[in-house]
Amino acid sequence: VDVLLEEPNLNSFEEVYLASRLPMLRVAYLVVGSHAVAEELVQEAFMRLHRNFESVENPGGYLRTIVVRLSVAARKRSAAEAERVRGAYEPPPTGEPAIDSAWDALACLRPERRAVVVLRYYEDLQPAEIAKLLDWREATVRSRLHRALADLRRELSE
Amino acid sequence: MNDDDLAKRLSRALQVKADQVRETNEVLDPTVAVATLDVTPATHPRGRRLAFAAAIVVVLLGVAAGAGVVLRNRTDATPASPFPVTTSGAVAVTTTPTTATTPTTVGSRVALALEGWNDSPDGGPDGTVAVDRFNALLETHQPDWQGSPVDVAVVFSHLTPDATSEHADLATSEVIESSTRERVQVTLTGIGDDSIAAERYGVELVRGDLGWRLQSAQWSQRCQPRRGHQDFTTELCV
Repeated sequence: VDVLLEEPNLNSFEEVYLASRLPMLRVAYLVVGSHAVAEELVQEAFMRLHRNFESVENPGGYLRTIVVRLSVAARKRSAAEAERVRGAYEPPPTGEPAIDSAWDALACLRPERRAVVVLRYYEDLQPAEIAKLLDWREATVRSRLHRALADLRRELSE
Repeated sequence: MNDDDLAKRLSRALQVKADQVRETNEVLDPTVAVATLDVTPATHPRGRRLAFAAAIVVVLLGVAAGAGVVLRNRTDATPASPFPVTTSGAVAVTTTPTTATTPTTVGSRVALALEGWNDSPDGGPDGTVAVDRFNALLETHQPDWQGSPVDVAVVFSHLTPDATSEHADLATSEVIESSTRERVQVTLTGIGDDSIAAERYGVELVRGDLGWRLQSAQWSQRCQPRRGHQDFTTELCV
């Protein structure tokens, strides 16, 4: 797991930033569902990384953990967050029903469940890796994933 | 829609939506930001980091001001804080051949650990947990606590009270079948999860020349009220 979550040989903060900003922005966007909020969360994650850069052994893993946790927390404040960023740019619907309906269904998930879905099906992480990343028990990850899929199946069948 | 179809649909939707996110603000390129500010000599790595951080702050403040956004310090998403550990309540093991169940509260913290054994092991569909790798690690490291079957079982389970739950507790019970055979249950209750209430490992041990070794192990869980089964089984909670 450590090897899989390890970023390749990034020695400086600038290198980590350049290599990780867009991937982290995408993960945050998928979890939080708002491009504008995702931008803020990723910048905040980089600020935290910078404060601790000297002591962080795996900047990529650290960033991913912070970004997902910030995104889950932001989703719990989603109503206030949505109001605050009203009018900001958001990616439009794709026009492809299978994708847009799946995206809409993701919005119905609880924050932790959505985060697990993103990490499993976008980041392609195994439950054990997700558990390590977020400091959850693996059984919890599996349970949340199971319930998320049940929620999504129900949403998509309506 | 089966799980595979749903997984494929989700993967594709997430990929397409992620691809909609592009870098659009060239000011956020750190090279440009640092060069523009020129706070410190570019040859000093730490200086460059500080300069870059300053550049980010400037850029963020500018963006925030323009958008009417106030950056907040969020304290609710700090990195995982390792649960504080202290010495566990060691369990005295009698070697008198007898059969008895002895419930023992280990306490809420466990200090024992085995290098290379970093997580609770997975159970198969029937809950069976492989024990070979753990036994091999015991052979390699020969820890002091290998003379206690309960301690061996607790370390194997890797169950620790979750920092998010004040009510979590770890307990063991042991059945002494003979001087060389025991069964131990390690149960974590009060889990801070909305569906899972408790997890349990049932372990069979045999005593060898150097200490106790696992013969077999079984994992199970109990659900929260109205979230599924209330006994210990391998079924998922809902």
